[in-house]
Amino acid sequence: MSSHTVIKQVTKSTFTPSLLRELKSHIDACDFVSLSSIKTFSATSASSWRRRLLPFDTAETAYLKAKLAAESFQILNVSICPFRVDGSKVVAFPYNFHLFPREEQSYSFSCQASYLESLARKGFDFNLCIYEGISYLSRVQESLAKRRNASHLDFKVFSKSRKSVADSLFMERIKARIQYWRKSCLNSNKSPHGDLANSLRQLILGTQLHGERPCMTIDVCSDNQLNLILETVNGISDSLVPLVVRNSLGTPTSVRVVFTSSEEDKSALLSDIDHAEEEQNFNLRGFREVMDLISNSQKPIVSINCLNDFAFFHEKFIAPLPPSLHEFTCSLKMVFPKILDLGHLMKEIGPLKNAMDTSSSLNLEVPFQADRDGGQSNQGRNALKIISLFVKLNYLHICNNIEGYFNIFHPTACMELESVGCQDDTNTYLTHQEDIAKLGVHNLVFLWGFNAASSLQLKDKLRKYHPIFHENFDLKVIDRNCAAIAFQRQGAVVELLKEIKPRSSSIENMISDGVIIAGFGAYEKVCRMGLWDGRLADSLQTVVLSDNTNSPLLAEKSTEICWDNEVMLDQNEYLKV
Amino acid sequence: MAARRGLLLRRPLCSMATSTSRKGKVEVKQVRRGDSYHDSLTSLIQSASFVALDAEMTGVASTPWRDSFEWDSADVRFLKLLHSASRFALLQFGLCPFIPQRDASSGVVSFVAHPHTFHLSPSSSSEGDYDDDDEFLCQTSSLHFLATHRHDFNTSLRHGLPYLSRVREKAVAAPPALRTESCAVGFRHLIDLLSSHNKLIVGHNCILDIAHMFDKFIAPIPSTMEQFMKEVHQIFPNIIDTKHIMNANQTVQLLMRNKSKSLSSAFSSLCPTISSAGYHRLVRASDVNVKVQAHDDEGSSLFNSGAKHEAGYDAFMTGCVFTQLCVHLGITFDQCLSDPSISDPLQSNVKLKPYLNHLYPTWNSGTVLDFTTGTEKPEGTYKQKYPKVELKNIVLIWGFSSVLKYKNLKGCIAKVFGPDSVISVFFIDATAALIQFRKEEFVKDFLALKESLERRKDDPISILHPLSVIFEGGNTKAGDYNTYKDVIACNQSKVLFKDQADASGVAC
Repeated sequence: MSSHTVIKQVTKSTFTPSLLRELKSHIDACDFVSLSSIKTFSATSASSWRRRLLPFDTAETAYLKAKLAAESFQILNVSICPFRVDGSKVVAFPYNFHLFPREEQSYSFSCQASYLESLARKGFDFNLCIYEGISYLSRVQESLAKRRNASHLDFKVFSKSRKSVADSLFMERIKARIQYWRKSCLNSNKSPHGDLANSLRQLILGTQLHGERPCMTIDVCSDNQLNLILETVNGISDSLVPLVVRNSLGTPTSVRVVFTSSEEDKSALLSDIDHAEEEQNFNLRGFREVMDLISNSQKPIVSINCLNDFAFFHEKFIAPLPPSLHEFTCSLKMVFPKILDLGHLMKEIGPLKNAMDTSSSLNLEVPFQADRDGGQSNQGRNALKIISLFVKLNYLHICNNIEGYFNIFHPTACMELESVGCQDDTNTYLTHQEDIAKLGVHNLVFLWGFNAASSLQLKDKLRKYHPIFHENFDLKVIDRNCAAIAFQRQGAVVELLKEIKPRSSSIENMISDGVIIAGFGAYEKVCRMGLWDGRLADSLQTVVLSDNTNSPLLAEKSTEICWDNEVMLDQNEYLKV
Repeated sequence: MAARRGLLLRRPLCSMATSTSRKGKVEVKQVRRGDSYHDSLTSLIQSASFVALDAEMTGVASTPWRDSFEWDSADVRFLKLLHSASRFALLQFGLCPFIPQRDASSGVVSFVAHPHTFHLSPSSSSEGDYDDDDEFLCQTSSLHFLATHRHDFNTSLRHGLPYLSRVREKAVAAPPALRTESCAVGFRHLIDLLSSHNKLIVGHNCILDIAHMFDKFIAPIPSTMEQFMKEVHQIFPNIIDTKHIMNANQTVQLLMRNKSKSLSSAFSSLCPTISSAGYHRLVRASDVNVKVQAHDDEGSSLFNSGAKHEAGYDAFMTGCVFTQLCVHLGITFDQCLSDPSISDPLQSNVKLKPYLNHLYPTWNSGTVLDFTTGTEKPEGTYKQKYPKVELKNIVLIWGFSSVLKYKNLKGCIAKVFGPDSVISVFFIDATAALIQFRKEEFVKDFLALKESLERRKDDPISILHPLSVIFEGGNTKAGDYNTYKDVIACNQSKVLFKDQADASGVAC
């Protein structure tokens, strides 16, 4: 992959229906689409417990964190690359879309300062995003907006069988007004009095212009009035086209009656209106059009870090995120039926890494021509990096069985895409996958309220509290004053928690020191209830205090987690006393 | 530097006007990470009669309902201010020292302004203990607004100075961290300098700027307005808000009748000779002459032509407006030069004293914030736009059907409580409204009635009850003004008030 590879940068001014047609033709001719995005935050560089993926996060809690992030942060870039594998060659068409929302779409959003700075250092162009970013509407937002901005023409006339006297009077009055105005329109071309007289007459009659055509505006106070006016207009002449004008809430405020000079003129007006609405809708949907294109193509999508990225895509381009992982995957599958998560793939084939073809380098062909000015930005390379990784993994193993890997997201923290290009890093990552202990959430307890200067000291203290801590366990400090403990032995956690609620004498010392222990269920509850603010220990405490079932808060069901022994949560495992 | 300034002083008046600005432009010094500014600015601040300031931030309100409203009590306004200043970030900070000089030929005192724009990076560059400080909010419309004024976001993020408050500086103990943060600390020292010299600080509508300054450079904002004002006053004992003078002084009111009191309009109407320099204009005798020092000894410094909504330029405009307001208040600047031993010639001026440390609140509530005493007090001279609101007569409702409009809301309440029972209704957004009753007891009655109607949900009396229009759908909730305050106090930022209220878990 040469650094001169041309990536098409798309902004507001270059985002046109013809670009969309071009992209569609590339997608149609390809086997896969790789997808990657840059947001105003990165889960891997975040430090707080609610943002970062922790080694005890299950797919469910990881989803809830992804949901929180997708609701808070913003997408700045989406890189999309349709590609096909031709023998030893990969043909790819990389696009990078710069996005920025409108106020109606997102009133405010969060940014992770340190991450934005690191983007800035790498040359990310924030001005391009904010000045030139393409806006978008999710499917749900669009249907809400459509209800508000109903089309000019789709108001149906309901003819009431019986009209009140007031209705009839109103119709007569409107009819007289329109007819008088229409007559003046018919005569205006023949007027001998010249421009000045014409414009005076227009002023008096309230004639305005709709484009080139004369029109008049009638204010509307109710749906009934609107109905009556439309019925009246239709009864006068076919040459009059009534357009309904609505306010920002979608309530009709007036009817604009447009005068057309002939049958052809009328159909020209109607097609102009259709065209304008089409264009308005295109601008309204904005970048969503691209996501729809990928969705409609039903092509398999290759990505990494899928849980996070697709939570964002769902929230921004489809609909607000549902409360559980299961509902999310169901909803997502209807839009993107085949998603291949390279994170999951690497986890699966980690043990096979020796078979990986490390010698082959990627033969990538990008048929895009550089712009004449040659000033092509390098932004959006991640989609290409995904292809590179995919191709390597693909050669290795999955060619024949790719279907078996679709739609399974790997929840643990992903390798940084920055290191993907480098062969050694990929291997290290794969090797590292072997070291990760497969534990269940039933092996875990959370502990807080302790007073210790280091994790070593804490371990010592725990051994004095209870004999169970003489067993083999690993301890990680999260958020400075909370610890997660993973026991090797199945059943150790249940034994320990059993002694807590009846306050067995064996843990009396621990309790009187103010140390509190709870099972994984407490953490699940924290995430489900959205107790994200503040320290993890405080949120866990809230859950324990509000729990009146007297249960030790065990995990609801047994779920596997990937307890990575090497991950250091607190930089130096140093506790602040 | 002194020599060069001396040279400038001796130029005749007309040529000074052109040195101010080429084609009406004001040169603003741009300060970015790694630029030297500290020594030169320190001496400028020391010799300045006052320092004008302005801040550009990433936004003001995180949700539509966090904007300032007419019906916000002082408590609610403070909660909104606190949220705004602690969640949004600064992109630029403008400082403009105004140095007095006497014109050799006319003997009139004029000022030399030194506008500086500091580009700031939102990063707090702290680790671990201040996790949440790594996040800040952006208001989409504010960024669009800055973009229309050609704000360079890349400069802020790539070359902006990080900032570090006094409190956090103490928290960052490790020596290597301190080294990387030296420029953050450096900028904060300027704020300390303003504070230690008791410099007169001038801002326009500056309560939010002051709150940001406190939050970013000093410490987290305390939890009450009184405490906040007291702590600000200890650090900055002399603040002038030009917006307050414009609203409180009769002469200025008369002068600015029917004119917008936004900074740029005030600048062009009060300081026409400066704002339209380059065009030939008659200089009025009352005009204070302000020149801009467009070059300095450091040579390598970057200057940009100032533009509206660039912090340094806005600070410059604010200072110019202030000098002109002083003239209208009958303040002369002779004291500024006559006795160098008087370090605070302006703030001790009796004519300025009534305005000192009086800040315009975010909304014209007929009150002014007095930072000297730490109180919010009625300001009789403010032209009050709206009638006084009786907070205890207010009911908050949310979650009602989206078709509920002002007319039917008022109508159905009138059917139960009488035709004049409702004074007015204020829609917070499409999902929530505040209803002001004529009598306090109606609030209790309304809430009790709601409860009883809900208890007998399905019986015909409830269904036919006039208020059922409000409670249709079963999701309508209600509370008194304290409930409203509790919802605002909640940390979350749901776009719709209804969702915020539900998320805040207030009792209803």
